[in-house]
Amino acid sequence: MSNTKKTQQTLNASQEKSELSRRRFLKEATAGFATLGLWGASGRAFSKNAARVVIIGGGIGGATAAKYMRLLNADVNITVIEPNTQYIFCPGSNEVLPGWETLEGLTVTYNTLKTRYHVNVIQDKATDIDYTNKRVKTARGEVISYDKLIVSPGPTLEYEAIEGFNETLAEGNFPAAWHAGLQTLNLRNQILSMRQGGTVIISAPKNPYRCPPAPYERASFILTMLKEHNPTGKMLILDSKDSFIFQNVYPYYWTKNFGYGTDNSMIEWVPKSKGGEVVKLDATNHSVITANGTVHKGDVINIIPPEKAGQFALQNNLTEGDWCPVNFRDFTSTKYKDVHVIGDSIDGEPMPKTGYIASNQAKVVVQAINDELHGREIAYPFIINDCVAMAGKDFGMVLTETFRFAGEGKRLEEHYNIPGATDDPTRQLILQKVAENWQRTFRKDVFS
Amino acid sequence: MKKYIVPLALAVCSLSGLHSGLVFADQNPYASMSGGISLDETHALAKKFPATQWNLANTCSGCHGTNGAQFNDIIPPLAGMNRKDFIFEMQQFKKENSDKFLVMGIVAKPLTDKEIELMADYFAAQKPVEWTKKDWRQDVVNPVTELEKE
Repeated sequence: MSNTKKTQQTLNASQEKSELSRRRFLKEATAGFATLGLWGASGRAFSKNAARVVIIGGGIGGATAAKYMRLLNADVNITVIEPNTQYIFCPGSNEVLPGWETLEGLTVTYNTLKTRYHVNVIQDKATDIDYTNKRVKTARGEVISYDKLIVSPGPTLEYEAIEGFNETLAEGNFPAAWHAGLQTLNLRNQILSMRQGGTVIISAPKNPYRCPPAPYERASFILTMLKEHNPTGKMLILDSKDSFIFQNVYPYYWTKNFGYGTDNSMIEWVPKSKGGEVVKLDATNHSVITANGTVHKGDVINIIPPEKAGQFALQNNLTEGDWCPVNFRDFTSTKYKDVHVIGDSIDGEPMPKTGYIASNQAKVVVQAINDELHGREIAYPFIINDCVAMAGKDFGMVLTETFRFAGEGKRLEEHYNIPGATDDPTRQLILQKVAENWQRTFRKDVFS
Repeated sequence: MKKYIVPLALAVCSLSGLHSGLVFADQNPYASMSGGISLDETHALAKKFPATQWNLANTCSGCHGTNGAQFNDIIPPLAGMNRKDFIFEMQQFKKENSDKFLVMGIVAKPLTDKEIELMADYFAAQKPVEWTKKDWRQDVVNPVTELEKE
């Protein structure tokens, strides 16, 4: 059985399981007030007057908001609206390419949020916000009232920003694999079955985008695969920017292991200023064309598309330009009252778009909501991004950014540290173990 | 992430009075980088706009688990940690040489002494969790050292 089929079957099976528990959940939910009492985190029914916190999106931002809202407040009514019955974690999904991780290992459900944290999870797609009456409508026609709304829809991948590229092609022969899933497996299979001496092209997007180190981590993992299965294969990174995060680490690993910088290098990195910006895909001829008109033929073509705010945010007028503007005290939208926006959809500069950041934004938001419910002044926000990445099974890296409140109407102020590559193999390996360990702990922090 | 780009970061510095710019240890392409506002400036903001104990302590949970009570192989739990030990460890991390630290050196430095004390109180009040992998050096470090000898 192919990996793809196997994964699909596994995913289907767990989907059925979640579907069962969803039905049970709905049955209990409609069984009446007395049953509701069993879910009260404080051991009693949610009062009719309980504040209603509604969360759009069950990704890292939304799930963290639901769980931590409950940790802070036993009495609020918490609802998550999310169309999927399960979530495949993006952190760790590059490891699926060389087979160090599986999609199943990265897949989580909403069961713990429902049962342990007494969160209503509505498996439906939120479509509209009625700001005047403070209600959210769903695709199936449900109307859900809120006192506080948290919008965490993730990004929109703009496939069409690259001429000749679209989502259908990404689901077919040109996997983007920027949301973990079947495209990730397709990309893996393409690399493993590539002709000897073939070229893998990665088009890295312009800033800002989800998980800044990920294109370079991905390139490093693919190089490890090529070295084993296809030692005359090549990796070409065409970049729509002139520098990247951990540029004081990745080239070290590439130099040590793949001849980077020599005539026999397995990898070439072309920055935007040297013609690296991909503007067009020629699917028929299996090539990409850059801004200066250069044609690059690739055996495997992985275009990571540029991004903008999630569709839900765009459709509900939460954006200005491509992203959602927010007040950094509590991540409320600058446009609508009682609506908070977090995660990849916001214009959060200097905060990057990472899961760790989204989860810490969620904590700041639920603290602010809880402060308001208790009639307290809203606390000042503090956000950390501890970003981990790997170059291989033997080599990890880490950086820390802290973001401080700097006054009303101002952006958060960043201080950052990015340690350079280390020659010490012990430190290289410990950092890789830290990265692996973080992925597991972080999944549990958000979903368990 | 634009600020990691050297020329852009310098441009940002000249635009914003708060940004003191990048600090390079040397011209080595693999040198550690730091930037944004300085440590002194971030400590000053911490005093001007203090974060809550809950906010501070819960920034740790992504790695150390919810309430510091999750652990796997090499990241220790913080739940139930003795207050004095927590403060001592964090102050040691703050003093670490910038090119030698693993993770906690860069995490601890931007925190003020007061913030570290608040975090220490928070974790000391949690139900203790035992770290069963205290011999992680045996599991992780030594195999690598052995490999090097081969």
